[in-house]
Amino acid sequence: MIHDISFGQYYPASSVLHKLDARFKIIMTLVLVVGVFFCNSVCSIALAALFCITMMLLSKIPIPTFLKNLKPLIPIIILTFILNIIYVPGEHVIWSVWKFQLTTEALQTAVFIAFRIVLLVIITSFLTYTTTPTALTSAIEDLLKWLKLFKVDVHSIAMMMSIALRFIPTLIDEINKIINAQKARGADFDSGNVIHKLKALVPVLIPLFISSFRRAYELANAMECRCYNGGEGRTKLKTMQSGLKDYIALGVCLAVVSGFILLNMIKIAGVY
Amino acid sequence: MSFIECRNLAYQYQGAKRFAIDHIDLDIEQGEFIAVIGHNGSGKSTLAKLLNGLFLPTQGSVCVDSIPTADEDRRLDLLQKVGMIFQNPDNQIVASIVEEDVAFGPENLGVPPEEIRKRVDEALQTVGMYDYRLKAPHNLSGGQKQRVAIAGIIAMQPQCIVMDESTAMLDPIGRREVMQSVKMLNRTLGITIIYITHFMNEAVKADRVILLDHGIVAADGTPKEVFADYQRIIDFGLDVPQSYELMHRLGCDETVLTEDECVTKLEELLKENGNT
Repeated sequence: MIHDISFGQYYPASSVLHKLDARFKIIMTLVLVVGVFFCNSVCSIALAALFCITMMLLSKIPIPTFLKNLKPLIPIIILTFILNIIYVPGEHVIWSVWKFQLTTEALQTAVFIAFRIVLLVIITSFLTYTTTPTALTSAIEDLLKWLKLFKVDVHSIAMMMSIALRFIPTLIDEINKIINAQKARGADFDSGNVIHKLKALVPVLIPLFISSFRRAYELANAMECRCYNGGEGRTKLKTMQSGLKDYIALGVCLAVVSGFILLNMIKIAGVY
Repeated sequence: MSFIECRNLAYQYQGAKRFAIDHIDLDIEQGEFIAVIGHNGSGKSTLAKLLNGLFLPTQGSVCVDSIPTADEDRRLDLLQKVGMIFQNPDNQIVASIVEEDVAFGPENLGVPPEEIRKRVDEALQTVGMYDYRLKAPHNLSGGQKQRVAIAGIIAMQPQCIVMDESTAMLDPIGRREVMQSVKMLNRTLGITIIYITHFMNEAVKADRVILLDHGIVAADGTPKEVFADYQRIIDFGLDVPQSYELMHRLGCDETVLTEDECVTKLEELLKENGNT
């Protein structure tokens, strides 16, 4: 039933992007995500697209892998496109039917927003594809260190995140096993209406929860046996080291984002 | 003084009527390879958990290398000395990459990064999983996962490893892989192994076998000594190794425990019969 989810999936390769410091990658992603919201002209969107394509080539990850991530978003992109066309007000009417008017402004906004969504997904997937979950969580732990001032246990939160990520594949295996076991006893998951289907999931979820608690108990024992004692006095196999390349990469990102803002002012054929 | 000393050791689960471990005395020397056998509920796993302080004795005491397990202040020392491998390989792997999981123990101990790197590489080479160091654990076989778990323990440089039915969920190939790794650790690094199992073919490979029954030590000695009385083993609700079973049915009185011994013995018998 559930085969493979590409959420947060790391794609192993040895590229410049893979080697960057995860903390910088998180900051760069945030900068670029904010930057994409400033893209309000053909030129700046073209620059963003060009930048993404260059990054894809640099990452040494096959381009179809990125496109796979976009697939589930197609309905959302289409929906926002239609909503924008209908609701964005404008003056230059191209075509009208009954109460509905298609204006250049609406069309422009709709196209821009669709492009922006695609760009956002690609930019965030750079982060998850080129960074291991462990590097990601330790980077988040490091970036949120200041929260310790407010007595937030940052280490435990990061540990919970990495354990959750670690157990996703294990639990998917388990769900498949339970579903098969219930099917073997005559459970029916595929027919009936929505309510019927949801009810059929109860005998899957209950064993899953019970076994997860048992797993948690055993994992806690195993972690204790390996001297886990919270974040205090802990060292790391891979220390996070930022170097010149990380600062250069961040500089490039900032330059690209300022490029977006500057290019917004250039008009091509009367269209922003 | 022995490496592990159990004195008048007793443990009672909360709300249970009888003792799961019923006042036993046990000495284990550094470098021994011990198999612990017994039927379900005989107290095998309870004993394992008492050895590294996961459970604290209800009565009596356990000392590991002169550290009492009840000593709260030296808890980390104790856990570092006595590593433990559990039954389900999935529930003891913490990280999503093999080498990062092996590093988990040393990281907790506060070992410097360069030293962790060295220990992780050595530990993975020792169990023959070095080529898999960058793989995700969920893509490995059961035997491989269990070897990764063993590497995670070796990286903490323990003096003793307790295997709590660690091969129960594995296929025969996985069991053999794990047994080989553990034997090698015992021979080359001199690590004390306490191997809890219900596979008798594995138990006979140990130097010493401890048979538990209802929380007491029913037999303790070399495999030959413990398995000497065929009927007694059966009465304890245990199996006997297949070779022993075969020879017993053939009317041979000797304690034949391993496949090799069995083959030699069969040859002898056949020759004798051929002569008469």
